[in-house]
Amino acid sequence: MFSLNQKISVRQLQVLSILHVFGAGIIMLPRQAAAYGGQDAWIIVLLAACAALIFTYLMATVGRKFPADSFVSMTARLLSAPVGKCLAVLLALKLILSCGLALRLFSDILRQTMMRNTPCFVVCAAMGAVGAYTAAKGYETRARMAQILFPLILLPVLIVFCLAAFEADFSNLKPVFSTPPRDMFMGVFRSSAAFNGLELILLIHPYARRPDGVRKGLMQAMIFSGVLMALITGITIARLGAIDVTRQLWPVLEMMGLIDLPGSFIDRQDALVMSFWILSTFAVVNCELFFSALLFKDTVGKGKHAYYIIACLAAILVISFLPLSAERVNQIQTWLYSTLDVGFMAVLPILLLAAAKIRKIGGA
Amino acid sequence: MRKRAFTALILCLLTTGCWDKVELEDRGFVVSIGLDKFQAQSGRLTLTGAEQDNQYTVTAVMPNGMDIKENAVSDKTKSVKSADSATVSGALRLIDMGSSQKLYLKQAKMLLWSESLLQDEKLFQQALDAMERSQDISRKMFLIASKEPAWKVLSAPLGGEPMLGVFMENFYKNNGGGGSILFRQILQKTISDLRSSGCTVMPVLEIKDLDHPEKKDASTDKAPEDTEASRIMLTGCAVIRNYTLAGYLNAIETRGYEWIGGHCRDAEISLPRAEEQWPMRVIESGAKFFFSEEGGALRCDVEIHVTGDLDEHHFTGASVSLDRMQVYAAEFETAIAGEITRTADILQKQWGADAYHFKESLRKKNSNLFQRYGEDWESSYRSMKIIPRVRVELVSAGSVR
Repeated sequence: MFSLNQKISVRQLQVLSILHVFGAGIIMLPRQAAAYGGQDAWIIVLLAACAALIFTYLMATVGRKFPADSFVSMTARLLSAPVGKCLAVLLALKLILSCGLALRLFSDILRQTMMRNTPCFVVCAAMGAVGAYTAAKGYETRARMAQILFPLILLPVLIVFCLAAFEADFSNLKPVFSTPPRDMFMGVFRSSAAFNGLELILLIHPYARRPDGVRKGLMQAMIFSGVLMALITGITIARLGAIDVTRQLWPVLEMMGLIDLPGSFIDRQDALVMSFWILSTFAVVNCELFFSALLFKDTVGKGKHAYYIIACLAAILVISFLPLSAERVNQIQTWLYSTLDVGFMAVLPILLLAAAKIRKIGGA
Repeated sequence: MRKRAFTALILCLLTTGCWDKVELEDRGFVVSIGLDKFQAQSGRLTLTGAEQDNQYTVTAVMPNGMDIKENAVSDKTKSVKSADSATVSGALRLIDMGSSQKLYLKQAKMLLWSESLLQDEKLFQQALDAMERSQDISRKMFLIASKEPAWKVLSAPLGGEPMLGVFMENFYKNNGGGGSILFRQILQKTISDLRSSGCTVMPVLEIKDLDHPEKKDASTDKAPEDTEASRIMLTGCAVIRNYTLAGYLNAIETRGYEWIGGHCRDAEISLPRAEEQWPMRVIESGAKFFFSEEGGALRCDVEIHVTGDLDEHHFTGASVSLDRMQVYAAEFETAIAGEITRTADILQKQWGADAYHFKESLRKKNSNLFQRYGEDWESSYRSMKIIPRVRVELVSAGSVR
């Protein structure tokens, strides 16, 4: 039974990473980037993708050295057991918080755009329950599901975006490179928050069928995500203008809502982005549930994974029920990114690589 | 097995259905919304006790499903509801309260602004903000201006075309991309234009004999429905500057504006001569701007390329020669340049309204000049020289089918 198989292929890993990145960032990214770079936002997104590429390389290199080790055992070997356990708990708590916030944002958008009268807890609980079930079924289950749904949803979205490009006024992207370097840097830093969740690269190697191919595969996935996100940002700005994009809470949805396809079967193209985003959020929820539970299980060293998943789900749902506005959620996510995410994605891999070199342990 | 069947049953119960379900017959699909500055009148919905705060009159037009019979389109098929309130959203809520159906605004096709509201900067800005904020309102909705009160225009009996929102939707669909006063303006573009250059334009809709429709019917032999449908007219455009109405352009002046906008497809320009009319139908038109500096002021060269054909001609027995075609083309070039200059004079000199969005174009195309002139754009724009350079290419004399 494939649901009992915990190993996934590099292709499946790529699909999951793309979904994770999109789920975390695509809805709000153009606005965040345009707030700093105006019409240069697409360049900011490209540069943020380059930063994410560097983080990916660092983390995948660490994982490659310890392909069979869990995060707890790897950090314990390199930085001592107590430090390893502390880091694992910290990462698990961060995952729970970011998953709760993502769920909160998801329910907010869903309620405002589609299901106004549905209570927040129903949306969050439904998504949480589905995510938990998939997480409990093992790593490959969600990978297979993502692999099947990904092309079905991504292709229509891409086609609609291509058609949107025909209606866009690309002169809205001019003048190019007019953003001061300081704003550009801040924009890149803030926008790279859209790539949060990449720290999970440190945890995935034991689940890869071919750990050697993980780094290359993830780099390719990041390039694909970065280029696609820059394209979507560019088209959104070309269609709405930079000023308008900074005022919209969810500019991509607005832009899709404006597309007028002649002879179109679907009147509301924003539903396509929504369906892609729902799948992405599902990927984010089950991934973060899976890994947060795993981290706690590895730290404690006993108990069933499923029980930890239930406990984590309860914590995530409590966070998602907090009455936080989209702006506040965004603020907390940015804070999380600039502290814990950067720590786990950039500082920790460098520390681990340095420790591996000094202690002369780990693969080549 | 029992366990699985139970799970399947529970799943069927929990995962089907919809919390937000509203039956179709319980939905009030609004097709047009009219916005007026408040003027006291009885018979409208209002929040009793707060009448002194009323600022807006909002009118919503919905199809009346109960009265729609097969092939029987009449004024009974529309339901018009108006409400007075301090805010646009408050008035919409009142209309919702006053209706047995749940108001659904996402299918609204047209937003009609009355002159009284367009003249009030604060109220216009607030109403626009309400429209932009509302998740229920489509930003693709057409914006139309009216010299008459919007509630009056929307309530007018129009046999054959009872609902203006549907009429405008079909009109733009069938005249899609057409030029002259056929241009369309949507909510998103209006907001974006006002934010970037502080100026926008809206087509003006008029209904002939709005107050006395019966007089019109009596004076004609035509069928009433034809007569009434033909009373709806687009007569030009309203120019909005800094969130207030700067003035109106008539149809020819609007075309003068649209040459620079580059959307004059299907427009017909006619040159009256001593014994003949030279009409040209525009097949395609496009404009490009080039900014420079001249004598300490901005200069904008507008290159307009028009492709057209002679629509009709008496020919006096001879076909139109190539030389003659060139003479015609040169005459059209002069006429088009004249239209542009006249409209530019009104917009630039009289109203100081940058309806062409030259400021945005300058920002995109020439950042050096923008830095020099963009800060005090008002005076830079007024003193800017607009030089139209029109090139007309007549591709056919219309003599061969």
